[in-house]
Amino acid sequence: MNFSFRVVKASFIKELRVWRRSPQKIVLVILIPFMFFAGFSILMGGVYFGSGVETAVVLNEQNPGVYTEGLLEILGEDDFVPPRLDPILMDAETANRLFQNGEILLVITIPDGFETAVTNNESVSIHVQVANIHEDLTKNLRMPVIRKLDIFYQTYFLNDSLVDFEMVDLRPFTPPRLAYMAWTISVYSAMFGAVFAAGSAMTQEFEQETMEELVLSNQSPYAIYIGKMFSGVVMSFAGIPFLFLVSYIVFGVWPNGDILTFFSLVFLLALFCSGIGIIAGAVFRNSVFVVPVAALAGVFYWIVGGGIAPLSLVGETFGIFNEYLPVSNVYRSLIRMFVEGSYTSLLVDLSVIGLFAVVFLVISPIITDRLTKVDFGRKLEDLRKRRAR
Amino acid sequence: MLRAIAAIVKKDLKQAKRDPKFLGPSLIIPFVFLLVYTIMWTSVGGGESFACGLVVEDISPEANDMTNILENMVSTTNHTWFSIERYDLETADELYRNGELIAYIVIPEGFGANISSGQNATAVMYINNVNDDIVKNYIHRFEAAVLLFNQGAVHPDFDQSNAPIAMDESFSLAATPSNLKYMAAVAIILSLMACSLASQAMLTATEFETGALQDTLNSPASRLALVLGRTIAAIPRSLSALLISAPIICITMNVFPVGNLLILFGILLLTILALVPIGELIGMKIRNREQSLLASVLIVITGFIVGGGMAPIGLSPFSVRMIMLILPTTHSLALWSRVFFLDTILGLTTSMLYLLGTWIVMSALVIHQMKKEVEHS
Repeated sequence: MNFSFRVVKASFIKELRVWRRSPQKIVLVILIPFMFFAGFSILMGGVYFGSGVETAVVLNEQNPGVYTEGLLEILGEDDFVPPRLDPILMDAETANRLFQNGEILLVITIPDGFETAVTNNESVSIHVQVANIHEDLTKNLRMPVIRKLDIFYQTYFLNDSLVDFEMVDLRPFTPPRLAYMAWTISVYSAMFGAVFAAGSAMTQEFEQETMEELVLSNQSPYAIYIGKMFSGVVMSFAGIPFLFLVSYIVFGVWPNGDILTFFSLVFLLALFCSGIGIIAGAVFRNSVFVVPVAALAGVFYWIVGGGIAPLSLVGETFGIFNEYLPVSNVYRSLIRMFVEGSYTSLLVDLSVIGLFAVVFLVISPIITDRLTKVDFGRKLEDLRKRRAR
Repeated sequence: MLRAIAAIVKKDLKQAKRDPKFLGPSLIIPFVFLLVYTIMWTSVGGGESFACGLVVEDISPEANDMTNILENMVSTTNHTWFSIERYDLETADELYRNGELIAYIVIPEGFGANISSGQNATAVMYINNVNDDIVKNYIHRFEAAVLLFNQGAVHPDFDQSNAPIAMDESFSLAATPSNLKYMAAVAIILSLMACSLASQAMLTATEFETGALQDTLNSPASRLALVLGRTIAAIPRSLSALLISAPIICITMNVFPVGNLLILFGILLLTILALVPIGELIGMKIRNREQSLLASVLIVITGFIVGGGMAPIGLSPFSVRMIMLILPTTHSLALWSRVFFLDTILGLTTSMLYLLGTWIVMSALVIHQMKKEVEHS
């Protein structure tokens, strides 16, 4: 049973044919990352899009003047910092009822005597009711009100607001958060696709009971498994164009960087993940179980790799820990490339993931071959019998 | 009819006892979500501390006040909003340019002198604008600090009583649940949702595989009795998942229900009623145990994320919210999160009626599907 590239090629082509015959599996490779992106976009998109946070404004001021009108105008103004507010004037009773029923989450009350107090330089309070369902939502409701009040101070209380602030951005363009997520989910898509496709190529042999035929074919099993790994690599790219395209159509931005670097990093990552995929396939022996394993492992790495937000937010300790997770290297370099167009850690990251890819190219077929010879069902039965005794 | 229902309940419960694998998804999914969520919120901030460098080049009392505000201002859960680390300008800039520091604030020399002489003083934030969410969160926090200074609300009291316009805030809950506590609370109902949907889908698909369902459908028992019996059996089966998941989640995450336990139980019951017929339909359509499991898990996860499991849907645009509200999981999650943290009966009716309606409509669909199955066979 000599190792032959001819067998690798034959196994690779056979797997691609199988994929062509089962479009529902290709749809799954594309659909899961896409659903993931759509879910997060729906979840987080509300902060950035739409008419803004519906805000009940109760105007108790009987004689509104320049300050009251000014505050109302500022509350309803468009803002480049999301979320914006969508003030709806209503009476106190309606606002309170809607707030108590949870139908409105933010109520701002401008008290009677507001105009006189501000005109006469006396202190006055506006009342803000916030549905503090959870910390992040509370923050997103309170902060726009604080910002609007600060804008009011900077506009109308020039003598009181002696401190202001200035923001200096590192780069001229700020990518939209959801586009950033689409780009990082493309890396997730490659991970998930590779693990699932390679795992599925293994599990089908168990499901269709053709594993024995493979073993008896007198061909090197390593060559066969490597062929399956490479088919996983090819399939891992299936979902990526869709994600980039959708992010471009919706947000109008392409990521920075060059396609060659992207392909090099993703190819090595996919090869590493395919190695894990064929091992997972030999263990689970059922494609249904490989899907959640691949999806959840991918989500874990997506988060810890900086898919939601860059790791610099996290602090040093987590950053150092993360250095030892090989997938994070790919995320790090790709995020830097996508956002900054820079390649500061590319050499290190390419070496780390390259090393892992080569190691897994060698050891995965060997481990898989050993695992296929183990009868897990029998082992479990033996274990049960021993425990029963 | 009652005898038929009782027999079906008995049979389904016996089957659940023989094959407790149905508990798998209901235990794995919420714990994986909790793990992922814990990593997400403890690692990338969210509502709480955001790492930020601070360079103070001025030694005036005004600069000191501004520094104290930045270092000590807190969010609604008493976490400081900035996790401030002080640096000299050169180090901060180097860390910032290397990507190790996402932002730093400079209080420049002359800051206090400007204020004393009645001129404007400007504090500057340098930010790595990786995406607009990061920028938003840093601007908001920085702006809050500036407003506090201008209101004269300085550390340690942050007293706004002399401010030209103060902000008097009140909240719907006595204490703001942290993101993790919110997730822990909804993970309990996620466990139930996964069990209701997946176990029913698996049971139906298994009965198709073994041919048992065809036999039952061709028996003299009425289809209504079949549907009712299977739904009643699903109630203790689904609740059994909570016997394991709820105590573990409550104790480990230190989160306990504030609302009325009876109402919470009612919400669980309505959720089971709404989801069981959907599970039945999945099983009847797919007819394969493993694929039914996969489909129901995917539906539960999608329903959970879109329905507000990871964050309340309150900020979503109205049109998107209307789409989300088609899903029964959205109503279950809204009811559960509301009553879990608040002892109230207000604002529950619409969602409760929706869940009840879903049960009736979906059960009718199951009966129709059963009729088609009998005709086909």
